[in-house]
Amino acid sequence: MTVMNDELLGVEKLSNGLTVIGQRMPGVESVAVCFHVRTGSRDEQADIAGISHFLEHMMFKGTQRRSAIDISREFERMGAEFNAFTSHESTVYYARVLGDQLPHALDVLADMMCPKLDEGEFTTEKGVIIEEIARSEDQPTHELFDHLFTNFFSPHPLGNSVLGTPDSIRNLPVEQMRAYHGRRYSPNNMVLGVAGNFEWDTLLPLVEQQTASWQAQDAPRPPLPFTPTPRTVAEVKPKLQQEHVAIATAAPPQESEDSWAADLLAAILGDSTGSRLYWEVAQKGIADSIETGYYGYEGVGLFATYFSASPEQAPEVLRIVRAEMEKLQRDGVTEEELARSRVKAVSDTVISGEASHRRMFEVADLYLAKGRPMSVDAIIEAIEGVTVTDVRELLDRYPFAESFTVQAAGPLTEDQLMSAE
Amino acid sequence: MPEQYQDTLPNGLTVVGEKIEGVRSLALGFTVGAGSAHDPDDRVGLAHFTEAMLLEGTTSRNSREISDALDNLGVRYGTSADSETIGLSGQMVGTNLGPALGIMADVLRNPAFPEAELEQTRSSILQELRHEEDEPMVQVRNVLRKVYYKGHPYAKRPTGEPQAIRDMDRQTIQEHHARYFTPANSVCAIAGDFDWDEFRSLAEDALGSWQGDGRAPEIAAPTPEPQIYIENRESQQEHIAAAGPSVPYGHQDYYAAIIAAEILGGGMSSRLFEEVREKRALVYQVGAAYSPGRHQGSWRAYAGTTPQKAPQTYSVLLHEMRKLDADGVTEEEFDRFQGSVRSSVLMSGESTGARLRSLLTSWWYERRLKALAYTREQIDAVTMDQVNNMLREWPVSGGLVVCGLGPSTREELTSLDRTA
Repeated sequence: MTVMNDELLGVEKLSNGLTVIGQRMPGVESVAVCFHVRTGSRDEQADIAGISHFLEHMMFKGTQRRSAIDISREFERMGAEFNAFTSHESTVYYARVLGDQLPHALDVLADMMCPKLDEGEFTTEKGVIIEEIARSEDQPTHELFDHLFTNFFSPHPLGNSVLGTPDSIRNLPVEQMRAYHGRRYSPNNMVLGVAGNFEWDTLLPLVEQQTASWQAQDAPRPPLPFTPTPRTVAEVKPKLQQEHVAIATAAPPQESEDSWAADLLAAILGDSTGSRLYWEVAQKGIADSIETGYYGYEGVGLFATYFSASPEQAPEVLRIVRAEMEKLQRDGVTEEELARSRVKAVSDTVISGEASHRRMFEVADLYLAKGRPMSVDAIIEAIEGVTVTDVRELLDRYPFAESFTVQAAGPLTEDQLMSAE
Repeated sequence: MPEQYQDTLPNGLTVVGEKIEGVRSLALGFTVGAGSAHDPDDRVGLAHFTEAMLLEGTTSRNSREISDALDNLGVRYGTSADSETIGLSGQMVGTNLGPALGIMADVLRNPAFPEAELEQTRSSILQELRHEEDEPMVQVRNVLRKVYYKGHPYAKRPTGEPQAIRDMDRQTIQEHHARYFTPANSVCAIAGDFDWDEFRSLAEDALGSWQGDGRAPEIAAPTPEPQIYIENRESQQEHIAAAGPSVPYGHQDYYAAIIAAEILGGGMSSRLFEEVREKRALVYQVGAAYSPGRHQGSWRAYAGTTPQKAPQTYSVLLHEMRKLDADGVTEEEFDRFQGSVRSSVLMSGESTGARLRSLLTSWWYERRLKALAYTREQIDAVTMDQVNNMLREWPVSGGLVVCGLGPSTREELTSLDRTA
């Protein structure tokens, strides 16, 4: 063990390959803990589409030591807030408890990582996943982003759908899931993130003991080339009242030091308040909302902008988005707006750094992205270090126009949507 | 232990605060009794329109100046509106309190409601209303509100009705503001890292000269009529939402009601989750909650399922609600959920934003502050017998209004429910 007990931020690699990264938060009573598994829909082939997310459900359905009901009742009894989520490249299981319950929460989470994957439960749970897919189709923005990723990234595997399709789920045999779990849930492909009320001296021996039998093996994720090309897809859905439009453009990968500038650039362009698109679109009332975010992944990234506007206004809004990107590309950002976006980002960092669960997600995410533990102060320093020149260079490396991809759902056809350009 | 403070300025404005140790941030907010329940019948959406116009300019700052000034201070801010109230709040690092309070006070007291921004806001709200129609899960809540509170001021859709939004004029908004945005009808709260004496004097400077004594009129208790209400639309899932009367804010069984609702449908080990999702895979989302209210609270339940599974989902949902009423809760589940409710209250105490909401809500609806230690004692004092007695008086399946939004007809939805 190399982490000193009084260290606030530390990282330790156990002998089985599991990385433990933790942030002690003196004065906070709660502690949040997660297993962040480096696996998601990008690690799936077409015949197992949706398996990462389906497996996330099955991890709650029982182990050798616990039934599904035991798992959720035990968490409830210890007063835990607990859940899990699956994205394109991560599956995260977490619990937040008061400090004295940490050993118990860790015991259940670690046990869950070795699921029973019972065939009966597997077959039953397919019904839940198919309901989740149906529910997503009743949420236009949820479905839109799924399709945007496919449109923007395919054939790169980041274009794979997280939920899969009803058919891919129905046809999945349990053996495939057992094999997938064996391949991807290797301790060297996982990070244990902890933040809040804990001591290193008690945490590390406990984790060692609870994961002693875990065996490391290769869980490769081969880097693949990605060359974005501009394209437009409009799914005509006459029943929708609004035209829902998402736009993707290429952005730096999460590991790049450009990611800090990318975050600020996205906020300057399209933060939900006070941004260029806010003043040109939302505040003028030609869309009910508009927002741009930066999303970094391993080896690739994107800026995603979403707006919802009436079918009459949507072509004009799309024209403005493109025009604002062109202007930004040509003239860059001003010192004043960059300074403002830095203050906003620092404020967000401080506020989220006070919540044990948000700090836990952040510390694990950033460790995987940057390969080093980052304190709140280090994040603030990175944000404050971004200059107008950094943003200029970022714009030159990732010109909006070269990858401008549109995904729309609503009453308009592609020609109608593009009619203002 | 966090310290709580409360005072009334000479002009009648209540200021409350809670200091949280070990944080650098604070949350500052206002609640004004000017919500949609007070909208005239032909101007439903007036409260929301007023709220949306607050940040569009004051007599001394235009919208961009407000936005830039708050952004430069690192304040993450927003407005909100519901049936009873309009809210303005922001989270920031503690050192920026003075200037932030000055701007927020200006926004509340001196909005200019400029004509040009009025048209932009009108267009924005009309689009927001259309957007709600695209989200069946939002729409089913709107339908339930309309049916459950029929004839009561809470029935008014807080985001507004399209025709009323089209008809809204500047004078009506100015009058709404002049009538309800008064110190006596508002509360100002702060939670996090601050010094009370300093805050008290900043509040006096920014708000001490605020005048007016208008107050929102009393709202009577709702009298929902039990029924099944179906609204058909094309959607992938049938969205089933239900509500029935429960205990009000401040009731002696308030925490017993929270625990009972958690047992029924508050998480992965609740009865509804186990019976409807885990055992039968009928849904992805199912749950129940206790929603407190001024004179009467309500039990809430929701399930979303594809149409072929809707009859069984409906029948299991109703069966579990009736079973809870008939048999009560068991000792094991009572212990489990009493502990989880206690823990969740204590953990939410670590967030300045969550404590601000709690301060504002308890002051608005109960005219008192509830320290975390008090809340904890109240939760610990609840007994299983109390929960079961409360369920006999306020059964979760009693007086239910059930709304179905989706493709199913009433006959289809209720076809397996034999006790109906």
